[in-house]
Amino acid sequence: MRKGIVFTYDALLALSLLVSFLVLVVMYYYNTSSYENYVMIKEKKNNYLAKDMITTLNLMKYEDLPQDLQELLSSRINMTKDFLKGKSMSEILVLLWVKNQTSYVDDLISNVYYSIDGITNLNITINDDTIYSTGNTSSNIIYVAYTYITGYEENKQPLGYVGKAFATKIKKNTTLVFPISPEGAGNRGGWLTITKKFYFNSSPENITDAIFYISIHQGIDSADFEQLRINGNNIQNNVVWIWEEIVSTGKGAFGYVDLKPYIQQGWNELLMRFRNPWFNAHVHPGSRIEITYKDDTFYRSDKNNIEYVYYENVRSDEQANRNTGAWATMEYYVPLNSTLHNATLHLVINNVEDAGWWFSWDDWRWYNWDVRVYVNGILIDEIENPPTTIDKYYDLTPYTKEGTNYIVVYANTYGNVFTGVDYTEIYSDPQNDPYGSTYVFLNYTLDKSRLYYGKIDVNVNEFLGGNKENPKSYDVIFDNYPLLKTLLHVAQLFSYTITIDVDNGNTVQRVFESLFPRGIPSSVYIDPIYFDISNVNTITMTDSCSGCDYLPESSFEYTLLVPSHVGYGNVFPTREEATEDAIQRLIKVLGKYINATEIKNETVSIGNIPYLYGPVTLKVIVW
Amino acid sequence: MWRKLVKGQALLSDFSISIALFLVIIGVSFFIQKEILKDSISLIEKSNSFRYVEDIGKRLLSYEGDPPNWDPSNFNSLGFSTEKENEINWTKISYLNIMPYETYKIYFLRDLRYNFFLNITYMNGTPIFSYGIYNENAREISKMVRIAKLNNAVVKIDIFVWR
Repeated sequence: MRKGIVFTYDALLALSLLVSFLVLVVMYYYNTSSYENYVMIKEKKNNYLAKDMITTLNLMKYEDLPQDLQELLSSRINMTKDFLKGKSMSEILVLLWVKNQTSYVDDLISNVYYSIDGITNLNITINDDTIYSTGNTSSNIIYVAYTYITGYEENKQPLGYVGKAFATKIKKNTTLVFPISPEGAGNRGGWLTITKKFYFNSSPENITDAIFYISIHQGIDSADFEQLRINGNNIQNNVVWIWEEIVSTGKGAFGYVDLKPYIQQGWNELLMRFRNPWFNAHVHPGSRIEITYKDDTFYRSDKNNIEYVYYENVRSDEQANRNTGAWATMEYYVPLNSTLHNATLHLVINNVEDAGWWFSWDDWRWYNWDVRVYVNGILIDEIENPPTTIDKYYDLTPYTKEGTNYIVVYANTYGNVFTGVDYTEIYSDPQNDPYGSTYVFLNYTLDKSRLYYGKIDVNVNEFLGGNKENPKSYDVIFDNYPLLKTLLHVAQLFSYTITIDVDNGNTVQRVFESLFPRGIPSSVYIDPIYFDISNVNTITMTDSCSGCDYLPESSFEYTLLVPSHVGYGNVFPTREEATEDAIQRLIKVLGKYINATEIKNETVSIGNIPYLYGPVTLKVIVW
Repeated sequence: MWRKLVKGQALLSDFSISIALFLVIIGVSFFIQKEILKDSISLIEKSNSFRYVEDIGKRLLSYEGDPPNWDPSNFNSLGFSTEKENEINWTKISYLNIMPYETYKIYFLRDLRYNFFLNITYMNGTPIFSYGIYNENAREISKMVRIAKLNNAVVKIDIFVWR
């Protein structure tokens, strides 16, 4: 090999590598620069649009608007045209907001800006209340322009007093609902014992009503319902059975019993023991404890939510047939637009049998597992050769969705097949063993639009009433109070697959659908976002099985947020009149839900400026 | 029967491989320059034309001109807003009808290799006024939408700069 030739092809290789390196450097430079330019151009365009919007809202005057819109606004704001003349669109928007007439904002914007959504996405807010929106601000990058508005209303006396009032002590009737999820076993005559522990943080003297609604599938003989105890008191004979239906697999029964004399402050224990010689004994949708009581607390908004949702203790005993088995469902919910940090299931099952191979008639195949866990219809664990005691944690975060979530646990049972010796127990005792029990742990942060301040929460639970029927509809109105949560407690003697729809007067939306047959939670969370608080809302429930009626004792639970104060009102010649006006306005806003036992008020004398509102911030958000 | 390998033969094949590798890399480099970087370079160039779009937007919406009550026979620089920002003076816009584009383009653009086009419409799309020339097949086009008040209505202004 001659040296010259070696040098030539080595040099060519080196040159190739150098060219490749240069190409990479150039690509990096151009790609970085071009991306920065792309972002910069996009940012500038949106910035200009946000600024243009706020400026034109200030420039456009009442008299620039079409005549019919002028008439409409004048009547809605209840002010004369002379007063409105010279007012800018931004001032008119604030007046609509002050007068609680923001439903006319769409008319105003679309008359002036037509299809602005064809140009950009846009939100207009006043003091963070969204009054106009072309969609959710899903983008991380938003562009905001804002202006401050202050003003006064027509027909106000320029000299005098204005008053505002706060409810500092209150009494309200509120309802706590403790649902009992569908769960059971006690196969073919074995006893099923369900223990529900619940915490009541008030004096029993405050209770106005405490009812246990019981919905079960049991044997047809009265002896099949053996015990019902509340805090040790046997109230089995006090149950008033309203609905009963006998089928080939036993009896579906729905009834109620008064718990008021027995509820105590702190932990309470409800125990029921029943069996079904024809099938497995179990709880049906609709079982729940409702306690209505007088309360004096105010709502405290907390964006960080940490919850432990406890199972009931479900114990299934053998009836000399080596067929114990136990199953339990549990629902938990995450409000829409929340940020879920963690959802964990802690599952504790006692006395699980390793039953070896068995045949499933439902699936027509052999299985070797003894415990199965499903979340929202997804099988997340299947335990073969189990230890006697199962004590496991499951990270449910990837399986958890916004809205209602549904867990099913099968232990030594699946479909119509049962194994298990002596007893099987899905263990829970939140009172004495809170961290050793079966529970779902939830940690999520609420969207900031769900945070409310200066409010009183009132939990209302209404019977749907009407007939035993399928489908079943219920109309509800919320008197314009914001909603914190809404739950539907479905009561049925028998069920198959259900759907729930909400018609809020504008749209009909499906808010729940069973994932599999008989997968019916006792409580279905319906996010408040589906309701229109200024409209009549209709909830419609449908079961695919025509004979599976909804009972009138199904209930709809919702939490309203009532303002605890009113701001300055009209101007009065005397301080007393301003005070009385503020108190009357406060009583009106508290409505039928709250009784103010102590009211604080403030009056101020005002000078020559007929001040009413502001400064408020009007924001235009573009993305 | 294999012939005995001599040094010159081995070197020739190595040399051929390195030449081939070199040519392939050079070829790929040219392809990347031409095809892959084309969009990036176009975006960088666009930032220049976008500055001219911004300039025209400011001239229309935020500048009255010099003097503020200029007319085509007497002005130092062109501006089209009233004394209020984002409000366009219709009289000044109307002057453009008698100001030929090619003659007055220099008052809008710093770089005469570029051209521009303005289109003012009501928000419902009804045309009001347009000025300039437009070529939708141009190599480089920058566009921006501005919103302003003209007479008693809100209007949309599409501004295009291209070359």
